[in-house]
Amino acid sequence: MRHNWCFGVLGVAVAVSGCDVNRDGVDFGYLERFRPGLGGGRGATTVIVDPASVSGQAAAPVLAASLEGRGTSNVFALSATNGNVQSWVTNDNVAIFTEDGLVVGTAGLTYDLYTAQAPTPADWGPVPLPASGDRIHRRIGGDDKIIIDSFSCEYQDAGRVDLDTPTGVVSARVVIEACGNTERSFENAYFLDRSDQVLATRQWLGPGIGFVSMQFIGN
Amino acid sequence: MIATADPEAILRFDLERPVLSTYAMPGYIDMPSAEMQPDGHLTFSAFYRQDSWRGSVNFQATKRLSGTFRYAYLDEPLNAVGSNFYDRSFSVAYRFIDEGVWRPAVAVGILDLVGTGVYGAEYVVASKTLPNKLSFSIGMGWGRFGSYNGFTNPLGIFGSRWDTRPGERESNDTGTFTTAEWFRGDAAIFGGLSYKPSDRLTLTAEYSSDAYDRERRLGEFDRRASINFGLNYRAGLGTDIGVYYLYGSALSAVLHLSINPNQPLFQGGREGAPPPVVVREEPPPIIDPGFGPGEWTPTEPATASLTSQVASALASQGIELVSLEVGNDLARMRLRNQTYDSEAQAVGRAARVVSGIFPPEIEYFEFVPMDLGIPLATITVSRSDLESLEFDPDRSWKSYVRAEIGDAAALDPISVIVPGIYPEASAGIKPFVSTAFFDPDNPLRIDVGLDLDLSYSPLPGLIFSSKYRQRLAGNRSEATRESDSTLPPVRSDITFYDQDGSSFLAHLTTEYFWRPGTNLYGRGTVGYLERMYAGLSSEVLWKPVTGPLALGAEINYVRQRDFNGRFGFLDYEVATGHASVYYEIGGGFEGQIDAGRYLAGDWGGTFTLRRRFASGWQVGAFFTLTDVPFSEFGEGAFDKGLFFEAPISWLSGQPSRQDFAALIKPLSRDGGARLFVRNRLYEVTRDYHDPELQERWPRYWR
Repeated sequence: MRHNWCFGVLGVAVAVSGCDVNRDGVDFGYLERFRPGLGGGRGATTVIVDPASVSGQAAAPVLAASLEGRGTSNVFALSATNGNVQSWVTNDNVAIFTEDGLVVGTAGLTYDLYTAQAPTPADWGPVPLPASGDRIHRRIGGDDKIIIDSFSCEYQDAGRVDLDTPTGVVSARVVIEACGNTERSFENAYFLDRSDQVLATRQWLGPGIGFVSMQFIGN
Repeated sequence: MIATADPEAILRFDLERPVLSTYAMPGYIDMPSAEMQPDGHLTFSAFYRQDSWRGSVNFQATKRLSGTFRYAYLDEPLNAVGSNFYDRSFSVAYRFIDEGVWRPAVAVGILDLVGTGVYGAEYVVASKTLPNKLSFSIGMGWGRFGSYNGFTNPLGIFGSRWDTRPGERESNDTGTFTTAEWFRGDAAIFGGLSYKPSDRLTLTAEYSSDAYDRERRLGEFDRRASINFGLNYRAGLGTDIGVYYLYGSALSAVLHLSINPNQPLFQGGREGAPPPVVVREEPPPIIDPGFGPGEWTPTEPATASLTSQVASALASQGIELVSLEVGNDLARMRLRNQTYDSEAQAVGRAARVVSGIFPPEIEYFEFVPMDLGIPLATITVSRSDLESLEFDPDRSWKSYVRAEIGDAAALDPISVIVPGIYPEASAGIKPFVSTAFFDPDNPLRIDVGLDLDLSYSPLPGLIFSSKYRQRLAGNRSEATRESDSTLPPVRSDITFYDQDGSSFLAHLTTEYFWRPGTNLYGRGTVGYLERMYAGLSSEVLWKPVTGPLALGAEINYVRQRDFNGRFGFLDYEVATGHASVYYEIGGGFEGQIDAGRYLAGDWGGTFTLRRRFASGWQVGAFFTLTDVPFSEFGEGAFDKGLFFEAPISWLSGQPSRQDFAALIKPLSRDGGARLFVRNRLYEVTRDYHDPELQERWPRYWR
């Protein structure tokens, strides 16, 4: 996939100043829900998906996901891989497509994300943050035309948390992707391991779906 | 995962609509505004005031143009033929100036285009939105809207004929265009003001220039004031409730139900995810598609095995494989889509599901959609494109431009049909609702019951079928109004059919469909064609897969069936037929002209304009002018009507090829009456051609 995005001056500024990312205009309020792992004392862990919901699944690659707005959770099995994109499917035929942890599409969810185009964690994970980029969402309207929503995004480090996983607690680096346009803004969060692989994430998939929280297990 | 309606979309749908008047047009109470509903909006309205009600359908045909059909009851003395007073009218409004920062929107409207003139009124109105959730309008009206505090028509500067308005129309004049009345006679000023204290509540007040002369004269209405007050509550899901205090003397209420064909409840559908594309590890080098010698030469057992696998895989997606031919690098699959309202979606699903079956040397999939036994197009997709574009952000348009869409007439005849496809037999029972509108004795008559459908197709294109309609309940047979037509009673005898054959053989036919040549389609039908006629019908259609123009010709020789709906006949027989031109105008609009001889032997033409929405909805209107004079035609002057078609998938969000259709004709007379024949070729073919394919191509990946 091609991405027209760039690391902007923000990256340089932070690299030079080493300043607290909270001072750079990104609202980390969302992270408070991951209490108290973020910035909290040792022993406190962050839970993205209840480990009990995926017990016994740790051996196979699965994706545990919950749709916050709908109050539903499900476990997705890896069904196919095409290039860097993985297809995850539930028993009731709902699919989420991810590229390096970035959700690039959904199917069977209603108001699906037709495609998402944005820098992936593989793009911004290894480089100094902050950085900026563009995110483009496409969805199908009622007239079967493609509706395009584009956003400007900033990527910033938000420290580390202890992430609760089915295989134990792991230390995860948190990156916030703060996106907005003239109509709305949202913040996505990525929890990365030491090799910048996404362990868990929370992403906004569009006005009809809202936020999905996901944890990759057994990858 | 539970799917729920998108709350943002629903809220937007509810808030972006203007308030409608009691005439179901954007406005205040009786008076109009220059606002317009969002493009494509369709609103069904019911208005009630003591001793009077109106039912209306408003359609926003374009961003600037709206039309309204209205059926009203007024409690007045019985007319000359002893009926209560029911009135049909048709309105149009056109906004010719959009609202700007300082500039108001300006619209012109005609309230009774072809009706009796009871609601005859014309207006020009300017509307402006103000800060603090206020908006106001001021306008000038003629006719009813120029009847209170009127003044000399300013259009009189163009001649004295504008100064006077013709009086009430004779009943023989009804149904013709009321052009002689438009913008004539006294004019008057009206105005309206609205305030929205919340997103859902609108308070309105208006100064009405309608004197209610006719109602006052008949003692039906007491007009004590010129200021009306109203409250409109937006209850959600397209529902508006309005209550009004009218003219200092009456309370009234209105209910509006709005939908938009472009805004289904479940946008994008809620079907399950499609199967993933199975990517080949090492695609072979691409060579020209064909069946000649190549890298992979299919053997008979290999093809048989593939056929079985492909048929099974397609069946899992609700698609039927009719035949499979495999060449060196191309697999041709004739398909019957029994599930998806979008052909693009059916093809996309088929491509995905067979991607894991064929050997890697097969680079091209050629899909041939079949309907009624004939091939309707060829859609060839590259397997490499399928693999590389599956997650491409621009996969929709890229895959469309790379697909080759062509005519299927030149294909070799099917050599081997998949076992079990033919002969094909089916039987089914389903409920029906049959309505008859606008009988002055009872404006809405309904029969309900069961349809028994039988069909048998021994080979592609040849279909024996029948439908028996068993009425279980209803009141259509209670109609007693007999035809006063001076023409052969080719349609007006429907009363006798309802009385003597309320359960009847709806059709019993043999149909044959074939492809006479490139871009040509043929149909022959013989038997009991419809409830009232039996005979022969043949049709040929020229329709390229791409391109806006199609031409058709149909010839029929029919005899009128007995009233009892069985196998007997009446004495009347006629040769009838039409030459047809179909043209895709663009923007979803489609024009159709049918010229020829009608059932009563009259000659003329039918003009149809429809708007098709990608969602499958269509809304249209037609009128027929023949050599039957208006005076001989009878009430209504000429045949005309509106029609709607709504796909079930629009409501359910699930793929479906079922739809609901309704035809609204103010009157069913004998002039300009056409034979009903099932499976006319244009409607059969167009779903498989552009622009339909192109418009719905995003669903190729769904």
